[in-house]
Parts: sequence; C-alpha cells; structure tokens
Amino acid sequence: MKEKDSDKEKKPEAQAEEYLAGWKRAKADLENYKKEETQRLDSVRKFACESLISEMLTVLDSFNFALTSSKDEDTKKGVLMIKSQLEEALKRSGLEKIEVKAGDKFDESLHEAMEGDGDKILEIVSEGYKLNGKLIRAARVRLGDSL
Amino acid sequence: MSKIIGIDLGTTNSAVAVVDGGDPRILENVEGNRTTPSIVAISKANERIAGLLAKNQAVTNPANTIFSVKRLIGRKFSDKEVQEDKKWFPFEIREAGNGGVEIQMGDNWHKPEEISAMILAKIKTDAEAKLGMKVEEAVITVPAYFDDSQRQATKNAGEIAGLKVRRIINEPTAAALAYGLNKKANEKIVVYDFGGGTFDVSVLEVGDDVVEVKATGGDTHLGGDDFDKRINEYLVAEYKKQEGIDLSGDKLALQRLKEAAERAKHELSSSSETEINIPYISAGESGPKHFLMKLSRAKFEELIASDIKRSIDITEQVIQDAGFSKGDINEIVMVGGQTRTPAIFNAVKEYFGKEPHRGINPDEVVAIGAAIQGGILMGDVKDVLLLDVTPLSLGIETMGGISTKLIEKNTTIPTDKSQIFSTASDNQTQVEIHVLQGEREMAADNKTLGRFILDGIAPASRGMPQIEVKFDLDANGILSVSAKDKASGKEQSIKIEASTSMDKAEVERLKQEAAAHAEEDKKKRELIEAKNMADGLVYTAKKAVSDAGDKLDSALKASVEEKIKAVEALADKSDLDAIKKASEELSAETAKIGPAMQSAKADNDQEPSTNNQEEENKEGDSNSEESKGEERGKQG
Repeated sequence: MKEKDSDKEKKPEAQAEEYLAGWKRAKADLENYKKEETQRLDSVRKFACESLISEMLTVLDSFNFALTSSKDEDTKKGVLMIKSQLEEALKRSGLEKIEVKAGDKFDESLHEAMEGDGDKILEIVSEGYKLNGKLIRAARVRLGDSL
Repeated sequence: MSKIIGIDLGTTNSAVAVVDGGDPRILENVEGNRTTPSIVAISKANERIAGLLAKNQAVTNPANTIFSVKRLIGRKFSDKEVQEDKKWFPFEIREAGNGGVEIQMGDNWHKPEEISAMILAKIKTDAEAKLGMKVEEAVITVPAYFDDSQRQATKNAGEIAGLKVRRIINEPTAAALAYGLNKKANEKIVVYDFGGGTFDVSVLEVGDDVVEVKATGGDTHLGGDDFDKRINEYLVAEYKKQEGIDLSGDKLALQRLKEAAERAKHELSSSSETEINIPYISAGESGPKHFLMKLSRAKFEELIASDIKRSIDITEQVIQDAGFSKGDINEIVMVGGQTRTPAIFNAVKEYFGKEPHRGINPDEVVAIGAAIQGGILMGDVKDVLLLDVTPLSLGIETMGGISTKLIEKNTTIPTDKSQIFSTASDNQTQVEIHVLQGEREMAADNKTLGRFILDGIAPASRGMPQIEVKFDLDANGILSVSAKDKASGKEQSIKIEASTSMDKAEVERLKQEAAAHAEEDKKKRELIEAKNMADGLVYTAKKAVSDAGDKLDSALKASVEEKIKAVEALADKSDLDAIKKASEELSAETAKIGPAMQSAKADNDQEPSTNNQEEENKEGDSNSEESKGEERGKQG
C-alpha cells in the first residue's frame, strides 16, 4: 500500500518537473532566438549588398585589365580615376582589398592558387576582397618557389 | 540539452542544419557560407585544413588535397568504381590490409572514413560556434544506394569526428522528410537529385510512418559541372570562329570564361537571353580583344538536352525497377542546384504530368530533412507541448460601434495583451466593456462573448481618464478580461470559458463572412473613425473658444463657430470626403486660436492668464488624437 502511495505522489511531481523543464526550454528558446535575431539582423545589414558587390568585383577586374592593356596615357588616367571612384564607393559599403604583393608567402585563408608550385606568390592574377571582415573573394595568385 | 544536427555529407559540398524552436534552419560555417566544400588537405605549411581553405590551395598542392572521398568510403580497392576513379584522382590511393582503400595525404595513409571525419569535424566545430553550445549528436545522410559497409564507414567517420551518430538516413528520404511527405501514408514518391557532380534518382514508398526505398539509380558522373563545361566549350569554339583566337590554352581567360558561363547559367534560369561580356579577354597583335556574345536559353537547352534526356531515361528505368509505372507516382521531389534550370524542371514535370515539389532550396533540402530527423529524435518533450492558436480575433467595442481587436487571430496561446482606453464624454463615470470575437470591423457583426461595467471613474473631461483593458488568453482558451481605472485603481473583470471552443466549420464560416464583407466593413469603419475624429475636433474647438472667452478676436471666433456648425451639420450624413474636408478646415481654424492668443499676449504683457491658455490648448490637441481609441461609454 505504502509503495503504491509514494508512486502516486511521485507521478504528479515528475509531471510537474517535465512541465517546468518544458517551460524553461521554451523561455530559453525565445531568449536565444531573440539574441540570434539581433545577430542575424546585424549580418543582414552588413551583407545585404554582398551579391551586388560580388558582381561589382568583376567590373573592378575589367578596369584592371583595361589599365594594363591601355597604351594611351590620357585614357589610362581617366579609367584609373573612374576605377578609384568605384573602389571608394564600395569601400564605404565595407569592402576592403586584400593587401598582397609578389614575393609574399601563400596563405590559403586569403589567397587562391591558380597555378604553379611552391609557396611564394609570383603574380597576382586578380585582387581579393573582404566585405565587413568576411572573405568574399580570395586573391587569385600564381605561385613559384622563388621570384 | 544539446541539439542533434543534421548533416548532408556530399561528394563536393556539405551542409548542416538544426531544428530550432520547431523550425529547421541551415547553419553557416565560420567563413559565413551555407555550404562547405568536402575537401581536406595537408597544406605546404604542414597544417591540416578543411573546406574552403583546402579548396583555395588545391591547385598548388594537388597530391595532398583530398576531394570526392565519398566515392571511396566503405568500398573495396578492387571495386570497379574505385579503379575507374583512381585514374583521375591527383592524389594517391592504395589497397589497405583489409581490402579497403587507403589515401595518402602528407606522409600518412588514411582510411576514407578518417578523411570524411576531418570534414565532419570542421562542420561540427563551425556548428558549435554558430549555436554557441556543444554539439555531440548528429544525423548524417547517405545516398540510397550505399550498402551496409558504406553506411557503417560513414557512421564511423561521424564517431571519429566526435559525433554520436544517432541515425544514418537516405538522402532522398531526408528530402521527402523536409517536405513533410513522411506523413502521407501509401504514397509513392520519386526523388530526382541533380547535383553538381552526381545524378541520383530514387523511388520511395511511404507506409505507416516508415519510408521504404523501392529502387534507386543514377549516374555518378553526371551533374551541373557538365553543363558548365558544355557552355564553356561552346563559347571557346564560337570565339575561335568569330575572332580566330583559341582561348583553350589561356588559363586565366578560361577561368574568367568559366565564371561568366556559371553566371550565364544562373541568369538563363529566369531570363530567355543573357549577355556574356568579358572585356580584355586576350591581347592580340592588333591590341586587346574582348569577348561579347549573346547566349539564348534555347541554345543553352540545346547544349544540355542530351544530359537531360539521359536523366529522364534513368528515371524511367528506376520506376520500372521499383515495379511501378509513372502513373503510380504521387509526389516528385526536386533536389540539387541544377533542378533550378527550367529545362530540367519542365522535363521532369512533363514526364510525370505533375508539378514537382520545389519550395525548399534544392541545395539545402537534404540537410534540412536530416535536421528534422534530428528534431524528431530530440523532441520527445516538444511533442507533448502542442501549442494552439486562437482561431478568431478578440477585442472590445469602442466609440461608434467599432470592434477594436486586442488579440489578432492565429496568435499562439497562451498570450496576453493590454491597451489604454478612455471616456467618450465629459464627466463620464462608467464604461461598458463589451467583449467581442470575430473579424468584422463593426461590433454588431461580431459575436458577443460577454460584457461588464466598470464604474466609479472620477468625473473628468472626455479622454482624460486612463482605463487599462487587459486580455489574458490561457493555454486552454480561457479568456480573462479586466478593466482598471488607473486614477482610482478600481477594477472589474470577467472570465470567458469557451473562447476557442468553436468547431472548425463555424470558424471557417465566420472567416469567409469577414472576407466577403471586408470592403464594405472597412468603409463603414473609416466613416465612423472620421466621425469620431470630427466629434473630437468639435469638442476641442468649443473648449478652446469658451476658454479664450472674450479675449478672442471676434472675427476668428465667428469663423471657428461657423466651421463647427459645418462639421456638426454633417454628423448624420455618411459623406466621408465631406466630413474629412470639414474636419480639416475646422482643425486649421482652431489651430489659429493659440497663436492669436499669443500675439494678444505680446500686445499686452500685463495679461496674467495667457500662459494657462496655451497649456490648455495643448491638452486640447492631445485630446483629439486620443479620441480615436476612446471607449464607447455610457453616461452614468
């Protein structure tokens, strides 16, 4: 008899535990959701323009090609100025060029190897960029053992 | 309790998702991307790297960069597939002591499950960073054709990565799960999975909550990469024809072309023609050369037509293998990024004569399904806790017979809402709280749940008393409504038991009725609101005039009074525009009283009561704003 009684007493207690646990979890879920939502909104704000900026990188590349192929100094200067206008505009949206030069050591967290062996950068094929700290395109490089 | 994550461990890319607050979502990796390349490497600096970093250095370190390990896991070295793949892998593989495969990376030889474990370990770490908590358990998906040995090896990979693998599920099953098709008893489902590098098709049958794979098929070397390649080849050939320049030897040009081709492919999913524009693609003797070409969707579809046909032929064969005909298939699920290509979607749709499912991102649907399976395994407690919603809106009647909603329909319960209301007339000492249920704009069209009176409100100008009305709807649908006069602290309340216990048909009928009358109800409400507003303005104007007394310029007084009459004359009319116009005119005229009094003050600095005047005018203004939310009151 006694055992049965204690069994009966335990049951609602266990149930109460379960409900309390569920309630706590629901509250915690909401709290966590709110925190994440704040973070998410923050990143939406920072990266909303990511796809547009990624497409603009192709345009920047083309400016670079134009500059290296052009022989006419006057045109070259004009193109250079337009390019820097575009760069400045993108910079204001959080775009940052990855600083890299020939002779630097290859770093896979910033560079993407296009061809070649070794771990020295021989040539920068196209510039790499970060948007608000996130790598959106690695700098494409050609590698070798020495310059 | 820690979460169970769902992992789609793919041949080229992997994705991870988790169920949070009842809904699945993809977890981004530390690089901020929704998928992670399934690539591992020992870098030249002798570090082990996985994902995008491994991919970035693949070209310069091909012998130590391992990809497509899914093609090797759980297989014997002597398997035909392994021997085939061995020919094109840039890394070394050999036979292990037990007949399995071993892969060389750096100085060591690894089993495929060890390599997969490195990918899983990165996914786990990134998921932990994203979730801000430890992750110990996972559901991992595998292709439906994986045999026991491949499944076991995948499971081992999970365990090596420090994950307790709660379940290995089939990729097509996960996709079906993501669309909730596991609940559709006795249905036959085809999952058509066209990824970047592989094509899989499976026929599933759903029985009592069990999903059975009836047949599978596919091509392990057919995918979207082939499409890109075909566009590329076409463009190179066309360019050669037009410009006489062969780009196929120029790596940089090919890279730019490849990116442009990929973009073109995406664009052709939504438009019928795209322009491929690559300035300065090469330098000829006569100066720089540009690449400018139009690619139509028709041409693109022509290029990939044979691949699509092949996939449909395979699909037909698999349905036959399952012992069905295509007419038996109830649902089709699209998986893999290439199914966004309209030609593929249409080919599948045309073949089955049915609309395939495609609401969920096809790159993520498998991971989503795995996460749902994880959620089912994790959620014993959650299953008990089914939260209900209130089917109809709840509110009270306010000035002019308008129904003002406090709790909107479809709000998850339990919930509570409160709002401050006020009186409609001067010295009103009691208000009636008329509790309503329904979607109609006018109180009379909604259902009365109850009513009570709050009295003992201290006499004051209309709009001054603050009466807080609070609705509390508990989990059982019991509604408690209370009203409290903030000044006196007096409170009255009512409890209504059956606020949600209405049968479905009744709820449906009421909703439809509301929808049918939506337009006319809205007009009615607008009219009454305009009238309430006009009423408030008249009140304010009269008060301002009487407060100003004989200090007010008689011409202005006459003009205000005239405008008041004009508004009052419209009180019984239902001409909304006329009421709005008269109200605006009155409002503009009343607004002149303040400045007029002020200049009177400037004229006569000795006048002591002007300051008071100004304040009262301000009160008058706020009064008219508040009157919109005024409680319809009955004078005591």
